[in-house]
Amino acid sequence: MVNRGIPMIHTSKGTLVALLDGELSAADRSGVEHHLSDCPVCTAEMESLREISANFSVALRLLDSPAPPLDDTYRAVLRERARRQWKREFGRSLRRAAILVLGVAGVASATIPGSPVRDWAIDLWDRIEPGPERAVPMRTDAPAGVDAEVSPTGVSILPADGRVLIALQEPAPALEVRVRISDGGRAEVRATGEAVDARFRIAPGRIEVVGASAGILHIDLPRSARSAAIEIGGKPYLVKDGDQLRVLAPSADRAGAEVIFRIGRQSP
Amino acid sequence: MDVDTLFRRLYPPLFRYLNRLTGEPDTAADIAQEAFVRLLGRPMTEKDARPWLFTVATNLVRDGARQRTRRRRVMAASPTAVPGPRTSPRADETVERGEGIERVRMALDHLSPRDRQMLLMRQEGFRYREIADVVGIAPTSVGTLLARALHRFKEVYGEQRDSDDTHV
Repeated sequence: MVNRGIPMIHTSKGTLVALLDGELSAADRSGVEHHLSDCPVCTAEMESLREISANFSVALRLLDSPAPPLDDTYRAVLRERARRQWKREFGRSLRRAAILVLGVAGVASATIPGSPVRDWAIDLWDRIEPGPERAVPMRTDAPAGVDAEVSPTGVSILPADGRVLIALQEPAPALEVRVRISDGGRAEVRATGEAVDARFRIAPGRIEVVGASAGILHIDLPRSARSAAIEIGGKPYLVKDGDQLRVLAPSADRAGAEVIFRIGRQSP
Repeated sequence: MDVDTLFRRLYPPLFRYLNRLTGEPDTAADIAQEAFVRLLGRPMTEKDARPWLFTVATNLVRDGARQRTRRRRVMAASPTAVPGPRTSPRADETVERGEGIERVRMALDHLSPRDRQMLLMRQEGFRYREIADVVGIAPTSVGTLLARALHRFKEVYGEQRDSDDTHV
């Protein structure tokens, strides 16, 4: 029924596309369909969108080419994967050999009081192998006793004894890190853009993010945590101080309640 | 689901998506293969692997996008081969199909990379929430952006067809 004198509010194109794609809830769908039954303008727009969408599908098919044979491609994938694993293992063996040599040099130099060789060896050791207090087992799922939620693009954990640490290792220079305090009880790290190829290691009260490429990491620190901090490359960048975020990094921006670090802008 | 089955189910749509995105079957095959190499070793269900693969693959496309744009400009500037008198009788159809492909490609190129990605993911049956997660926008924005992108595609594609018709 048309209400004379009162302009009809039409359905947005976005809602019509969502209806076309089956993305509306049952209640919303019913509301829109009821409106369409009474609005020739929106009905015409709906038909137009349906036709545009169908024509788009037809047009796209012009671009399609046959895919390479699946068996050959699958074998190539497995071969490449094996090659990279071998290369990583070989690199690890070399590092272990270097550690052994350094260990011997360190022990030998430790006998000389005040020796700079000793300090050099200790510094190099720390850079090759993380110190025991930061060693975290490599896992793709949560270890026993850790309440973790894992998705392909992020993880969330509960604080342990009220504490949370988010540690970023090997971040790409083009990575952006956005931190905020959230009212949820969990610490969460979500990756978007190219950062989705990051690996996550989880331990009680700790999330390690390794090798995030260019993209954005969104970090939520729970307000209820007694202590929360973010480290990047082993250096403290931010701590949660009550309801505030205290920045310790060389360079950071703020956007509302969010603190933003751009890795490439941090001076060494 | 074992890796072999996952690969057979997800590789064809990933290749199709990448081929449509890049216009280059060889590049699409290389990137699809690379995405699967990176997937191996990460235990995932098919439900999680699908958006992950498409995200990683799209990022790889973006990494090489500048090189491909240069290459396509060079190819477009080259004269199209004119069929001689001894060519197959279906040559006209081939030329017309080639022009059709070029029209679709140019219309897609007029979209922003984000809109292009969203439309192509929609074609592969991704839900709005999945598209939003991959692209990095709110799920409530997906419908509006898709509607605009569809209209934009239609405008540019329609203009080119009209322009080609008037030159016949």
